[in-house]
Amino acid sequence: MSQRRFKIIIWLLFLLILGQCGWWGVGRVAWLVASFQQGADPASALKLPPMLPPEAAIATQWLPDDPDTGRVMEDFTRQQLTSDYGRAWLQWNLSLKIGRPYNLHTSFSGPALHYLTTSISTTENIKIDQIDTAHQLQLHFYAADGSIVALTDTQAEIYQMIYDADGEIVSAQWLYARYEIVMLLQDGTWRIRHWVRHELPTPIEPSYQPRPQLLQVNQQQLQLADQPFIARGVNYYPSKTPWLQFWPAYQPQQTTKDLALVQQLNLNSVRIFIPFEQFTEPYSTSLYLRSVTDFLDQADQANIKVIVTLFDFLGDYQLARWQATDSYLTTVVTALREHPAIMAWDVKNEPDRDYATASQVVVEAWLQHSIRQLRRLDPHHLITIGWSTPEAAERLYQDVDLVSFHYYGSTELLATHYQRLRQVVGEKPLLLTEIGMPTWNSPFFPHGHNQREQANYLTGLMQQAEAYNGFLIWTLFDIPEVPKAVAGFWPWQRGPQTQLGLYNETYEPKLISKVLLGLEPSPFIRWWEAWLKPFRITLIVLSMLGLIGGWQGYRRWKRKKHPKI
Amino acid sequence: MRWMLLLLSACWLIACQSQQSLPSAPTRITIGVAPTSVVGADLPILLEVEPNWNGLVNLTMQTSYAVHSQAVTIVNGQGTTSLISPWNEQRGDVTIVAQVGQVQARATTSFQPGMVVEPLRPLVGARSIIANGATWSMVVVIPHDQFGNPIADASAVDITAQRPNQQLTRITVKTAHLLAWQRLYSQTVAGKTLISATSQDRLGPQAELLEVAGWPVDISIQLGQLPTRISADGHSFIPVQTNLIRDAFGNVMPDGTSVVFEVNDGTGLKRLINSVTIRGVAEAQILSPNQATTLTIQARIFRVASEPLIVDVPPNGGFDFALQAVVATDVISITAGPISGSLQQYVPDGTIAVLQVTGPARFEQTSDVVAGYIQTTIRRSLLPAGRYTLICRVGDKQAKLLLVVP
Repeated sequence: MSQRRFKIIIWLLFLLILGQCGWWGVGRVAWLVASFQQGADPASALKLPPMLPPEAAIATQWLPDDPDTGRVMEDFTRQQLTSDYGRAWLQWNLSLKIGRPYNLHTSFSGPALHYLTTSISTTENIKIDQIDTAHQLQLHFYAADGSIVALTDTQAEIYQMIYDADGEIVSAQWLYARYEIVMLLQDGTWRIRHWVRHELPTPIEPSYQPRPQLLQVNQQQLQLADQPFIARGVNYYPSKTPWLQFWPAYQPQQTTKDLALVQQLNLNSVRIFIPFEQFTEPYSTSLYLRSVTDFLDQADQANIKVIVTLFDFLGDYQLARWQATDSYLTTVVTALREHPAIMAWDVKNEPDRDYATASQVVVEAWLQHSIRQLRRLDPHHLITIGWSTPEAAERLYQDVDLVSFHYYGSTELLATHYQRLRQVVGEKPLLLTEIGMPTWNSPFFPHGHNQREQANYLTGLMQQAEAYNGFLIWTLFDIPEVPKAVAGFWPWQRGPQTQLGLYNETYEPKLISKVLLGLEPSPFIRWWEAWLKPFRITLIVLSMLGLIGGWQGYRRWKRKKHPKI
Repeated sequence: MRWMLLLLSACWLIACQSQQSLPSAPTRITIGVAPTSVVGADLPILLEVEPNWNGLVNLTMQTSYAVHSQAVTIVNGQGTTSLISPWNEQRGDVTIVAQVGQVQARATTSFQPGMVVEPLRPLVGARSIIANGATWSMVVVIPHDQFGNPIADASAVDITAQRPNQQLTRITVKTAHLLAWQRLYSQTVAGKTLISATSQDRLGPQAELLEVAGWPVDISIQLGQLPTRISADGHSFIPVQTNLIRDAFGNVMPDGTSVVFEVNDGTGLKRLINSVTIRGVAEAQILSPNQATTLTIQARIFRVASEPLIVDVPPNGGFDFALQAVVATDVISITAGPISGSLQQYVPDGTIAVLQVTGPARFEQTSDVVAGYIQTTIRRSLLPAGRYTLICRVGDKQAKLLLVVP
C-alpha cells in the first residue's frame, strides 16, 4: 500500500471518529435540552433525592396524640415529620422497584438502614412493586430536646406486587399493618431508626349507605323516592367544546340550553366526564369544580340525574401513580359528594380497553382500590364502572353497586348479553350507559349508516334496555372535531365518531330525536335500503365502470390480435 | 414384514405401559408455623398441599424490613423450609403467603426480640437545666437486642442519677413504644448530675446533665482595691466588683455569666462596660473622668440589677503645665508639659489630652501624652490668619496660649 493511500485511510478514520464524537455530543446536549423543556425534574439530573409529591402527604392522617408525649409537638415539626415519613416510604418503594438501595440513607439510619439495605441488596430473583396508600400516625413521645419521636402508624395500607425474574406476577396483595416507629432528627431530617411491623386484619370498609333523596338500589332495580327509576339519557359534551375542552371552556348558558333540549326529549339523565389531568392541576381545579357544580345545579333544577365519570383519560395505572389518583378522588368527590343531582359515580370509562397497555391485574387492582377510596369518601352514592362490553362487565361486579356497560353490537344479541350478565352478577342492577350508531355515511368507506338506520337501531336497543334500568345514548350532539387521541388518525376511524349525536352540531334534530319526541314513529328498514347507501352506490358505479372499461379493453386487445382483413 | 412386526411390538409395549395418573390440582394449602419465635432462631415452616400434590409452592414472607420469596418443593403433599438469617433477625410480625395458581394460604408468625445487649446509652436532653427544683430534663433509653431490635415492651430499665449533692435518684421505667423515657427534675444544688441506665444487668456509658444556678438575687457592687486615690485625672481606673452572685437557693452563678456595668458620669453620658463572672464575681475598671463629678454605677444581669453605687470623683491634685506654640511655614508645632500627677510624676503614657483652638476658625483634636509631654502639629492651612486662643486640657488641668497666625 502506498504511503498516500495509507494517509488517506488514517484521515478517513480520524474524521469518522471525530464525526461520531460530534454526533454523540450534539445528541446528548439535545437530549438534555429536550428533557428540561419537557418538564424534567432537575433533581433527577443532579441525582438528588426526589421531592416528595404533595399527594403523598394527603395519604397521612394524624390521630390524637397520647395524653403525655413528653413535650407538645409544634405544628411545624409535625409537618416536617409527616413529610419525612412520607419520603421514607417513597425511598423504600423506589428502592424495591429498582432493586437496589436508592438514597435510603436520607430517610433511614441505624438498624433500619442496615436491614433495608441488606434485604433489598439480597433480593435478586424477584422484583417488588409496592405503594403505600394510607397512614394514620399517632404520637406517643417527643423528646424534650426535639430530637427523638416515638409514634405508631396505626393503619398502614400497602399494595404489593411481586414479579419473578421473568416478569410474571408471583403475588399481588394488600397488606395492612401497624408500624411502631422511632425516628431521630439528624442533620435536620427525621430518619427512621427502628420500626416494628404488626400485621393487621383486613379492615372493615364502609358499605353503601343509601339516602332516601338519592338514587338507590332495590334488588335488580334502581329506585328514586321509593319509585322505580328508568334512566333515559345521553352522554353529554357540548358540540363545539367536547372532551378536554369542556371544562376549560365551560359556559353556563350553553348548559342551560342543552339541558333544556335533554328535557324536551323526555330524557332524565346525562353522563359527564371529569378528566384526570385537568382536575389535578393545582391552579385550575377549583375553577373547574365550580363549573361542574354549576352543571349539577342546573341538572338538579331540570330534574336530570347525572352519572359523573371519573378519571377520564387516565391511562397510567402503575402503583406509583395511586397516591395521585387518590388525591384526585379526594379533591373531586369531597367537592361534589353532597350534590343531590348525582345519580352514580362511574369510576372509569372503559378501563378494560387499557388491559393491552397496562396489565389486567394492575388495572383491576387499581379499580378495586379506587372504589374503596371512593366509598370511604362518599358512602351514599352508587358506584359503577363503565365497561366497554357486556363481557368485560362480568369482572369486579362484587365491588360495584350497579353493573354498567356499553354496547354497540347487534340489536338481536343484546337480550342474550343481558341474560348472561344477569346470571353472572346475580341481583346487581344493570345499566346500559353507552349505545349509539353514527350517521356518517361516506361514499368511500364501508359501514356507513343513515338517520333511519340510527333511529331504528337505537329504538330497538332502548326498548330492551327499559327492562334493565334504562340506557344512555352516545351522544346528544354530533361532534365535528374529534381529537385524534379519542378516535384515531384515519378518516374511517374519526368519521363515525363525529356523527353519533341525536342532534347535529347546528342543533338540527335527527330522526331519532323526532322519534324520542313522539313526532315520528320508529322507522322500519327494508332490505333494499341497504343498497341505497353512498358507499354501495359508489361500489356499483365503480364496478360498472370497471366492467365497461374491461369490456372495451378486451375488445381493443382482440382487435389488435385478430385484425379484420 | 419385519418392520410391521417391530411396529406392532412397539404399539403393544406402549399399550401395556402402566397408566400414569395426571397430577391433580391442589385444592388447599396449609401453613404450619409456630405463632411466635425469637429473633435469630431458624423458623421451620411446614407446608401441606391437598390432595397429595407434587410440585413447587411459591412462598412469600413479609418481615418488618424485607420481602422474601422462595419456592418450596412439595413431595406427596408435604414440604418444609425455614426462615433463616438475615430474614429471621427482625422483630415484628411475618406474613407468610403460600400460593399455587389460584390457591393461597396465609399465616402469621411473630418474631420476639432477644435479650438486651450492651451498651445501654442514656440520651439526655436538655443538657443543662436550672437547679430550682421545678425545671426538668429527659432521659431516653432505647435498649436493643443483639440484632439492633428494640427489646420487648414493658421491659424494666433502671435509671440512676447522682446529683450534685451526691444524692442518688433511682427510677425504674418500663419500655413502651420501643423506648423508655423519664423526666428528671432538678434539685436545688447546682452542679453536674451523672446519669446511667441499666436493664437486665446490662450496662452502658454515663451521661451528664448540668444543673445551673437560676436568676441571681441580691446583686451589690463595691469599689475594688484602689491604687491610690480616686481623682478626675482622665487616666487612672476606678476598679469595681460585684459581690458573690448567687441564686435564690445559694448557688453561685456559673463562670461566664454576663454582667453589664452601667456607669452614669453625671453629665448625662452613660457608659456600658461588659464583664463576666469568675467564681461568682464580676469586675470592671472604670476610666476616671476628666473633671470632678459623681459617678453612679449599677451592675445588671439581664433584668436583675444591683443597687446603684455612688462614687465621688474629686479634682485631680496635679500641677499646671506650660504650653508653647511655634508657627512655621506649613505647620504650627505645639508642645505642652511636663504634665505631672499628684506626686509630681509624669502622668502615664497614653493619657488623653484635648487641644482646643478658637478664633477665626475653630477645631478640636486629641493627642496622647508621651513621656510627660504632648507634642503635636496643626497644619497652617486649617487656620486662616488671625488671633487664636489655644487651650490644652489633661484631666482637670489646663493651659492656655494666645496665638497669632500671620
